[in-house]
Amino acid sequence: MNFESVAFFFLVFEIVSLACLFTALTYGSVYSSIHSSKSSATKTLISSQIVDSIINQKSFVLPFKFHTINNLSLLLDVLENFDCKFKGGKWEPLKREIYEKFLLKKARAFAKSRDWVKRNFAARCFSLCPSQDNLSLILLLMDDPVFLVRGVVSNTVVKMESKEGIFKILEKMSAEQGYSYWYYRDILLSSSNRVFEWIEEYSLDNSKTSFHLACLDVLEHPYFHLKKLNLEKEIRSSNPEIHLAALKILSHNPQVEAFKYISDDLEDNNLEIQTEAIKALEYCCYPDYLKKLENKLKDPSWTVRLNSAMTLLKNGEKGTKILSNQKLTANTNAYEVSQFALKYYWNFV
Amino acid sequence: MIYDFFTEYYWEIGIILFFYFFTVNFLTMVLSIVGGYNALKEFKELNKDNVIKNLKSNSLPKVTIVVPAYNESEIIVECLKNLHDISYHNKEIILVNDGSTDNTLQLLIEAFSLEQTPIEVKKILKTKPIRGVYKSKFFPDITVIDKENGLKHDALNAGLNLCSCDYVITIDADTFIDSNQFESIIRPMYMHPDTIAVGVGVRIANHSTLQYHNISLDAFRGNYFIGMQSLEYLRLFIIRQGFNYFGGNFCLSGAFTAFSYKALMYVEGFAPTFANDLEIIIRLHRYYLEKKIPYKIVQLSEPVAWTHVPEDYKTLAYQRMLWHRGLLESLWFHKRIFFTLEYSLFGFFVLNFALFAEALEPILELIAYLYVALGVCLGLISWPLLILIILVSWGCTVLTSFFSYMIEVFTYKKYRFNGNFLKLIAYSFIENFGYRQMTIIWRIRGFLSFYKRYEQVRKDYQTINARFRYE
Repeated sequence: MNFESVAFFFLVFEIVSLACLFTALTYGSVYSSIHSSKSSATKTLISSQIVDSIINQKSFVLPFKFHTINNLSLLLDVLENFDCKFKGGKWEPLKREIYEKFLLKKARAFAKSRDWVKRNFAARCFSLCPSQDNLSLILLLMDDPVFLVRGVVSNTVVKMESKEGIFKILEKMSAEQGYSYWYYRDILLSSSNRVFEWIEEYSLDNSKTSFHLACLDVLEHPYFHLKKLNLEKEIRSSNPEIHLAALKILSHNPQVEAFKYISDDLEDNNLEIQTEAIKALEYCCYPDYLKKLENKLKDPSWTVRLNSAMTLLKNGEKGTKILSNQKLTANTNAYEVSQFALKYYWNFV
Repeated sequence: MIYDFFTEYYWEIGIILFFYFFTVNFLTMVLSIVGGYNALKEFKELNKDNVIKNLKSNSLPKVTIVVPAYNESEIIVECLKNLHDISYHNKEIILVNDGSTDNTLQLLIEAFSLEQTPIEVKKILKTKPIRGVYKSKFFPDITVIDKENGLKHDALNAGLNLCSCDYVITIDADTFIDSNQFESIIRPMYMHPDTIAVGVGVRIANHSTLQYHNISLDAFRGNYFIGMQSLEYLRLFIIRQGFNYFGGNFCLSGAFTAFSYKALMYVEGFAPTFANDLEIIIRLHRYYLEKKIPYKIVQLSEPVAWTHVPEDYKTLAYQRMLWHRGLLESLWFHKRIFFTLEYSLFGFFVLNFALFAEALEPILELIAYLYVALGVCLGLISWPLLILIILVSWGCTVLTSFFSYMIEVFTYKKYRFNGNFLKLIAYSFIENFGYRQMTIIWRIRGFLSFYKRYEQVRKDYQTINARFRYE
């Protein structure tokens, strides 16, 4: 074997590969442009069929013969888009009809598929029309190794208000690392008061710190109103994270009983807790709170001073007046931070 | 005697050179194929990516965008407007004016109504003195740091000192972001929480237009050098994705990279070297491998960032010379990683690939040219064999270029099947005749520059290793 034959062999290989690539390239360009225009045409057709069905009370007919995953994905895309825009009325029964007729069977079959794209399809279908009948499959998909599957299907349990599912989301929140925590938290925050009550119930279980913290974290949301104060244990906890989470709940759910805790925490050694207690005074008018905030303007910590000044600003005219009245001669720290807040933060409040 | 030696061992030398080029091209091809697979997979994932759709709320992580700028008066206002207007709302932008001698700062003050603010910049990382920090009254997410000149790494470190988010994006002032694609950088952070750095596809912005913060290539009128660089960028970012499967990349583009703030702090920020984007990635690998902390450094396929590239010979030659010198310096700083199993696949494969297929390649290619030329002169290589060699080496480049187009056509279609696309095909046919030889000369100048600066490199090496406590 000499150099010529080796070089010739490589040249032939390259020419064949180039020919294949060129064919694929041309085919790809033509196919992708045809495919994308065909897909958008099919989507338009599906949309018009849906509109027609809604207006003329007709049953929906699919504009394609073959129920392949690609075609059904187009149908699902359109249904999801409609679902974002319409709620209730004639839309809901039509959506359910289309879902049961064309998607449900496939979704159930795909839920246990090896291919994650198919499992994602199933998750999206279940999320479109949540139903208790599919709960076992939904719970199964919640444990999926692919985030794009378990993330999508988690929406479903909140929509259908499954207690078991909510517990699982809280478990996921406490177990998963990174930003998926916030994803689950957001899903829970969009839920109803009934779900919040379950979370409150779950929060009583403090055997596992991360789970307990996850519950408290969701409950701090201002949309939820605690029926009664039951955070004595948490607010006195030696774990600063639990203490802080409980304090946040109190500050976002203003109640008369909360002030004694907030007042204590204003003197806490932990700077984060102290700051949160100051922020808590933004939301409600507790007795003497302005006086306490004014005192905090003299604190040796810049963070504490700045947060006090910001809270005073957020309290409107009364707070601004306190800031304006600070004198350089009386206390340099208080004067400096007041001027800083008045000058640079007035428009961020 | 040299003549005798040369004629006697001519074919043995040829086998060594053949083995080298075969291995490099084979590995490049494998990396391209794997990278192409990754691009197709990610593109498929994007279609199913309902997560991002659901994430338009407070669960999106806050990111800090750090922009170092030195004498960028021509583009700086546009750059900051582009960053401010991208749809991702949970962001803060820190622009660091690195002692510009032109009116960069003045333009920013006028365009964004900046006011000097007594904000104290933490001194976690050592930097040149800060002259002032400016905040905008109308754009609360924009902060401008004005400091004395200390080069790009120093400006980035100053930005890091003021950063308050978990993720930091470093971006060049001449780079624009495609708002549509920006959120894709969030995906790896959700999918793999141990991700410490994310690189994205970078494309060429020269002569393209920015419409509503989306890049449009309809008006692409690239000249010869832009066309050639477009080709290189297409190929490069496919190959880089291939490294995701072989121990991680050794370089993510300095034009746009997202880092975990914590990871950057672990390795004490950017180092004083020209190729700090490359050096920081190697150092992150090294730190995490030494500490045995699980991590991921990912190159995404999405074309998020569009950067301006040199349009003339002189600037391009200078840029390539600096890039090559930077590569050599960074490899020199971390030379103890080579051939060590302690650094797993990264130390054993990725860095060695960087050394042999990138750093030493211009020297070996020059040797190969001389070898063939001498062979022809001495009558050792026949004309048909010479033509075959030229065709084979030409075919290799065209093959990888075609493969990269194919992936582009099947995925993001930024270079559509129109005049631009055909122009790029034509460029790929002529790339091996002229442009490639120019890049060899530029990179060899990088070698010479490295040699000239060797004493300084040695000092930097000692500083870096002492600072990061490696040795």
